[in-house]
Amino acid sequence: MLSGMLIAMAVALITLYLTTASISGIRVSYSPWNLPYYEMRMGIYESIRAIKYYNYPTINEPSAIYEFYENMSKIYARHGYFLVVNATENKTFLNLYELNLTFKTDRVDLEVKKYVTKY
Amino acid sequence: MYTLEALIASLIIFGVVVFAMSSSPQFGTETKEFTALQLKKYADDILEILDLENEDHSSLLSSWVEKGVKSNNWVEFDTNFSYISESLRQNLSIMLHVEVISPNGDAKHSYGPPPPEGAVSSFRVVPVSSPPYAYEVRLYLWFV
Repeated sequence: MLSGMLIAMAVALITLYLTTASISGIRVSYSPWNLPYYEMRMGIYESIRAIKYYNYPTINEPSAIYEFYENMSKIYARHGYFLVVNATENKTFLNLYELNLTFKTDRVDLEVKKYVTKY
Repeated sequence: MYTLEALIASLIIFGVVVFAMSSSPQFGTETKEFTALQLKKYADDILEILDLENEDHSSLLSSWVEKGVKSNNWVEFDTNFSYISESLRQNLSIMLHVEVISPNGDAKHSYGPPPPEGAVSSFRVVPVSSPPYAYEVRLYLWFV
């Protein structure tokens, strides 16, 4: 009698535990979906890379960096992200650029300031 | 006494059944989101790997796009994406569609069958050596 009741309660508890465990597992794996990690990482990577790419001797067109950044903002805007990148050449150390990146969405507000070498 | 016990036991069992039933439809939509997340990860990884920098800071992807937009020669781009598409289809049952889009939004080139409604997309900004300097490569993936 009592054991039947105990087993029933145990079964109920185990079911509850297993269901919440499996759902929370999926919730956890689902949560990064809401944050644009890939887009943030790509923004920083492509901004740094543009400085090196357009300064490389075979291309050697540093002024193109700014147009690249403008167009990158347009492309990001089409996907719903606000991205503004700016790079200024350092006057003291000639092979250095100072990179300023702003990335915004409804949930993320990212500011990156970084020194990047030309080569 | 027995009646009371039976009543409690049946209440517990009823509660469990109600709980299981209420959680199951929610579980289904979460699985759908999980599939979308998985496809997004695949798309991100494909683009990221193709865009790894060479010594001259170009990449496989940027060189294919460069050839395409400069001399309208998309053979290399199409050939390589056909290999990727084929292996995705055979190994993971995933279909692929890829587009090259100019910064103003004009589609320059595309490869693969048109993506259906639920297709997941990812994008990559690649540099090229002549104006407009940046092109968007957009990759759509969906399960067959």
